[in-house]
Amino acid sequence: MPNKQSIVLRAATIDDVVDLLYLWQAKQAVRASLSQSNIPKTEKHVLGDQIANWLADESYLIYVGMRGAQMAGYIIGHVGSFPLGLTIRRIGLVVDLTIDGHIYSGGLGRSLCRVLWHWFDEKEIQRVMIPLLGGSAVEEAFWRSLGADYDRNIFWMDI
Amino acid sequence: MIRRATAEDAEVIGELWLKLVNYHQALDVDLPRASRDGASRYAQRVNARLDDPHSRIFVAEEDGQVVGYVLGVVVDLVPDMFVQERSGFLADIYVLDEYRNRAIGRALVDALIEWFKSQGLRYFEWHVAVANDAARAFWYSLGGRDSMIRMRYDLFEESDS
Repeated sequence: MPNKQSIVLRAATIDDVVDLLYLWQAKQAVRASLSQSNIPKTEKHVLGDQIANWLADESYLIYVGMRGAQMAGYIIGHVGSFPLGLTIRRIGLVVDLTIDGHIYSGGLGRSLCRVLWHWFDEKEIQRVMIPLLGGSAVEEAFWRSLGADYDRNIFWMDI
Repeated sequence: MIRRATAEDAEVIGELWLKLVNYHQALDVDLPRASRDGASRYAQRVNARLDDPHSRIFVAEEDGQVVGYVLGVVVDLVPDMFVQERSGFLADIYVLDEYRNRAIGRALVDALIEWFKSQGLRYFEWHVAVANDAARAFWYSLGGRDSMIRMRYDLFEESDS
C-alpha cells in the first residue's frame, strides 16, 4: 500500500538545498541512461551554489512538495526573455520538475505546476517553455497531458 | 559566394530575418510573430554584432544580391550549474526560397563551422521548429543530431477553458 500521507507544498528555503541536490542527481542518472548525447556534467557544489543564488533571485521560483520531512519533488521556474524583435518578449521557463520516483506522490507534478503557473500569471507571463531531453517519453506524456505542445528540437553537432 | 557580413548588409539581413519569422508563422501560428519594427530592430542587432568577437555573420551573395545569411555566436550553452564549456550556437539561418536546393545553406553552415573551429569549439547547437520538416531533413543530412525537445504551454489557454 502506498503511503498516502498528504504532501505539503511550500516555497523552498536554503535548508532544502541538500535534498534538492539529491533529487537532481537521481534524475541526472536516469537521464544519462536515456541518452549518451552531450549531457553536461554536474558539479555538485556549483549546483548547490546556483540553487542558493536562485533562492535569492526574484526571477526564479523554487517550490517543493514535502511528505513529512521527506522531499517528494520540486519545481524550478524562471522568467526569461525572447530575442529582440519578436512580439512575445518575456517567457516563463520550467528549469526543472523532478518527482521522487521511489515514493507515492500522486498528482504532485500537477500541483507543483499549478503553483508555478499562478506565479507566472502574476508576472503576466503568457507563454511557458519546457526543455526536455530527447527520448523522455514519460516526461513528454506528462506535459502533453497538461496541454503543452511541441515547439522546437534542439540539435547539436560535433565539429 | 559566401562572405562575412558588413554594415551595408544589415538592412537586407533584417528583411531576411522577417521572412524567416513569417516562414515559421506559416508552419505554426503559435510560433512568435515579428513585432512591427522587428526587421529594423534585428538590423540594429546585426550591426551591434559585426565587431563582436563572440559573434559571426556570413551572407550568401548570388547575382549581386544577398540571398541568405547565418548568424552564430560563441556562448556557454549549458546552465551555470554545470561545468562550463564554450560552445557554438547557430542563432538564425535563412536562404530565400527561390535560391534553395543550390547548397547555399550548406555553404553558409560550412563557413560558420570553420569559424567555430577557429574559436576552439568542439560542438555547436541550434533550434529547429518541430513543424519545420524541411529544416529537420536538411540538418539530419548535414549530420546534426536532435538532443532535446522544447515544449511550450500557453497560460491564457488554461484561463479561457
